[in-house]
Amino acid sequence: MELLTYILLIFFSLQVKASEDPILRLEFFQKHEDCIIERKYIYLDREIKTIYEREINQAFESSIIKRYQMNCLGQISKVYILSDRVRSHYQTLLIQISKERIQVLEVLKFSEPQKYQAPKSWYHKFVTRSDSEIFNIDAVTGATLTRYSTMRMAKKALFLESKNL
Amino acid sequence: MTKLEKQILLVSIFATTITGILVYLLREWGNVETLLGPEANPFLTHAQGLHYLFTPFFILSISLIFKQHVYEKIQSSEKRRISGFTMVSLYLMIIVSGQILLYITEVNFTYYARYAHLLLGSWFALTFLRHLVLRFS
Ligand code: HEM
Ligand code: HEM
Repeated sequence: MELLTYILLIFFSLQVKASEDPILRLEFFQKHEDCIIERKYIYLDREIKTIYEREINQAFESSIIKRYQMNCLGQISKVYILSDRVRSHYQTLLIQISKERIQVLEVLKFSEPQKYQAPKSWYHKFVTRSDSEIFNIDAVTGATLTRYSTMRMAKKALFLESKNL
Repeated sequence: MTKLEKQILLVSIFATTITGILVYLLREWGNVETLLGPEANPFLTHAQGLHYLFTPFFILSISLIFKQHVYEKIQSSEKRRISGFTMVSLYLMIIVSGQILLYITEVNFTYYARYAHLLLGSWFALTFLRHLVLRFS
């Protein structure tokens, strides 16, 4: 099974090299045209998943993490594209991290009914926070599960960043 | 119980069980991969809608026979066949776990409630079959 995943991963990266990576067409990356953007996907082995599950007390759904490294005039940062189930449907976030702090947190896709999405200003509260400052983000009325899901992903991104994978 | 009550019972139990299991299958195995990551199966919402639609009938159909069938049979039956009792207790637990899934947002808690509900639901359906079969023996 692991071997198969590796093969798929290699195949996938070759494929994307051949064509252009569609994720790079996202508005976020288009805005940073002057930066050098490199695709650095992570394949998580069982060991790192176990550590994560123990530290964060949640299961990891996917073994492949979509990650990009940005070098903007020497300023290095990592960009994670993460998805998480809110209740039945998923939301996908773009989380940019540098120096173990969140720099940007954008919603790329929100598939639950729109009324459960938190306002943009709320998502903005994550900016500049580090791992230990995630737990006390304000509650949002009517969007409790969205709040949990967003906090999970923020924690996940900061965890992966801290492990230097 | 009357013929109508019996028909409502059969249809509503069958329908809630099938739609419930459909929800589970679509949720666990039905994800669709998109460019930006996984997406829930487009039919999941419909399956959930149907499940929510049939559950009141399920609850109603059993409350309809509660006095005449359940209560009286428990009182009068000289050979106890247990499956009837099992169904009554499962019935209550299914309703409680279903409500928990609807209203509780604590993630780790709903994780277990989901499997409890799935298990209790399937157990109920099987016990019901057994109840029907034992009737003839
Ligand atoms: C079409 C549906 C059903 C039929 C044809 C049916 C038929 C029967 C029959 C023939 C008995 C045995 C009577 C006796 O031994 O004197 C019985 C007992 C009983 N039934 Fe049902 N039943 C049905 C549905 C249900 C449901 C849905 C429940 C509860 C949720 C239930 C609960 C009981 C109980 C508690 C007893 C007595 C205790 C026992 O024998 O286990 N029945 N039923
Ligand atoms: C025989 C009766 C029933 C059966 C067999 C059954 C079965 C199921 C199954 C298999 C699921 C999928 C669980 C999952 O997501 O993994 C489910 C979900 C659910 N059921 Fe039932 N169920 C029954 C009755 C009820 C009742 C009476 C209620 C309400 C009081 C209820 C409410 C729910 C809710 C809220 C969900 C969650 C759906 C979601 O994930 O959004 N169910 N059921």
